[in-house]
Amino acid sequence: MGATLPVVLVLYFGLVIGIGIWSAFRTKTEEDFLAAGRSIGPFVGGAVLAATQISAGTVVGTLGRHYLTGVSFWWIWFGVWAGWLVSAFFVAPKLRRFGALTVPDYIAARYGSELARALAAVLIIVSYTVYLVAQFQASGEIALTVFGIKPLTAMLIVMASTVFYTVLGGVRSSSYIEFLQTLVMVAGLVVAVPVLLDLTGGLGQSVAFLESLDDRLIGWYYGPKEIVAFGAAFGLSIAAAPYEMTRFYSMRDERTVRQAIGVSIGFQLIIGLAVMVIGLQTRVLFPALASEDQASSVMAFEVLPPIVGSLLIVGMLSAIMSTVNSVLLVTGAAVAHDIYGKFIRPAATQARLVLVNRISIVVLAVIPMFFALQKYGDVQAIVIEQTKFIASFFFVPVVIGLNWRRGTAAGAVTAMLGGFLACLVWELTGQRGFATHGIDAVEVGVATSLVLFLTVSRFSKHVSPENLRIFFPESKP
Amino acid sequence: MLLALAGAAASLQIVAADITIDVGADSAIVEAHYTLRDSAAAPDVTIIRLRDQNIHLPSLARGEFRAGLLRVSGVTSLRYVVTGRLDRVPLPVPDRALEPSRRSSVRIHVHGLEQNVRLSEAFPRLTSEAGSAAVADVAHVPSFVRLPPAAGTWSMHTASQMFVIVLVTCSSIAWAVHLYRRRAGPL
Repeated sequence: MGATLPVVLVLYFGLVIGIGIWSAFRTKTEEDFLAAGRSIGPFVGGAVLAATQISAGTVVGTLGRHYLTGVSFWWIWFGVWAGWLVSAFFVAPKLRRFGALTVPDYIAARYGSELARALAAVLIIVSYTVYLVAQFQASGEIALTVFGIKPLTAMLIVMASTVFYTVLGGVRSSSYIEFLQTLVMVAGLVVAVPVLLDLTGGLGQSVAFLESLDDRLIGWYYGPKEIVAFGAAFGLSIAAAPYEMTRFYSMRDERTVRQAIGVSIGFQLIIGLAVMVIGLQTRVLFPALASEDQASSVMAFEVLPPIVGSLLIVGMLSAIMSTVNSVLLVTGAAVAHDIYGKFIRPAATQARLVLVNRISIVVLAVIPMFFALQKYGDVQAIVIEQTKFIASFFFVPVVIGLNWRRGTAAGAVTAMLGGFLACLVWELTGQRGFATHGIDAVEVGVATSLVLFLTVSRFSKHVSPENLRIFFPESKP
Repeated sequence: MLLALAGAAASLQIVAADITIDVGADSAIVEAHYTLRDSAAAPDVTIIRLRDQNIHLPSLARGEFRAGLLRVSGVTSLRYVVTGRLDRVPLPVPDRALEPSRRSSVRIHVHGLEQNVRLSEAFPRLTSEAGSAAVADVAHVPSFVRLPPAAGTWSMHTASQMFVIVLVTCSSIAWAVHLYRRRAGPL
């Protein structure tokens, strides 16, 4: 690859730093920092949503799963898009109309409960720290394969550069950088597909090759039970994902949010198909890699022409950085806005809140690095586990709570706590028997959360009409 | 990890692979040698025959063909002849990854190439060696070597690089025009 990769990296990250500095000059208030002054349009917004969705889980994890298990994993995308559609019709417009800064803001306002806000903030911090583990682990894999450097060094570089632009410009800088990242990623993947097909002798020859290797690769490696479980984990979590919902707040209005979701699904369709083809082609070229997580970086570094490969490596690093950035914004806000600003020092100034947010981002970026170095599983497995937990504690209070006025604070608190614990207990016990009973932890978690929410809400104190009127304008006083 | 087959010794560790391909007019001879560390066992290898190709193994090797896939058990060295279509020459891929995998863990020498070819467009990327030979250093054993195309022919390799350069240039110009129009717009 010679000098091409360093040149592309320097050019790209120079641009990223430039956008960060430009945004810093335009960030004066907490609303500027967390919601970009609510100025993002549909195309940039759609690219931003796609960038938050497309993470290391996709470019390293999903590509690796296709490498290992073939085409059947692709069906999980329908779960992802179902989640986006639920969000577009039942979640995003109401949240955007409400105009909060964070998801715990919504929880507190909808249920009139600061306890519910605190619980939501804590669960967000815990579950997204797990998500960051996958991102840092992926950056370590890429760095080892491409640059030959130790994973810890790579994680520190990714953390430092991401924290730099997150801390500087908040959502404004990350929105424009993510727009750029999505375009780079789509361009890199789309160009890589014909190059790889040409290299392997075309689709027919690749299929014949994969059939020889293992006929499940082009058939059903995963059966319907697994596909439904994976799809449910992704779909239910996306419908209520805090870091994606935060991006709705930064868009101009409700119509822009819906348009942006449509644009985002378009980008995801292209990326999803490309990732599948590339995963399979990499298996044709290198059938015995040490880990499926290496597939994307090996393909970009050892197979593709230097400029295309460099573009894709930059795209992969960008995807990791954009997700780290989005997650840090959400977890930092949970600490600064929802815990510090509401419980510790409610009278804090705007400048103080922004400062605490920036400090939280730095601290919360360091913790997952320790776990990433332990390598508890492959990248996609960690991402799937995290989505199961998000779905289990957030889907019901967010999606059902936005569309069922009878939900109460007690119902929301028990639903979040019960869903989280049920998912955890099933993961530690019942999940081992999945092959026989086919019941996944996400299904147990969401079902428990739903039952608790409906039951406890029936027998607990109603939410005040003032709180309900924000989300249900037709409510009687 | 991925292809660890039952029967292979758990301690088996492949540290390097040295593969030589002699390309002739209507056949290619492949010789592969694997270096092991502290193990009496030998790896199983898989060769996947492409369309319109035949693979001739010496009778000594214990091979088994199944739907285009040839599996050979317990070998540290292997030699076979490929006939038929020769644009891609299949290689024997061991059932486990090399460990530790470094960029030069696998060395592939290709002899008998024509003079006027674009080595960098072969897979894996080749560089010229003494005489008419070429060499590739990679971290993993690829399933085949795609021989380099003749100079002057159209290639996807070059086209994709040109496409990226044109795309980046056009995007940059479009972005600059967009910014210029916004600044020049009504106050």
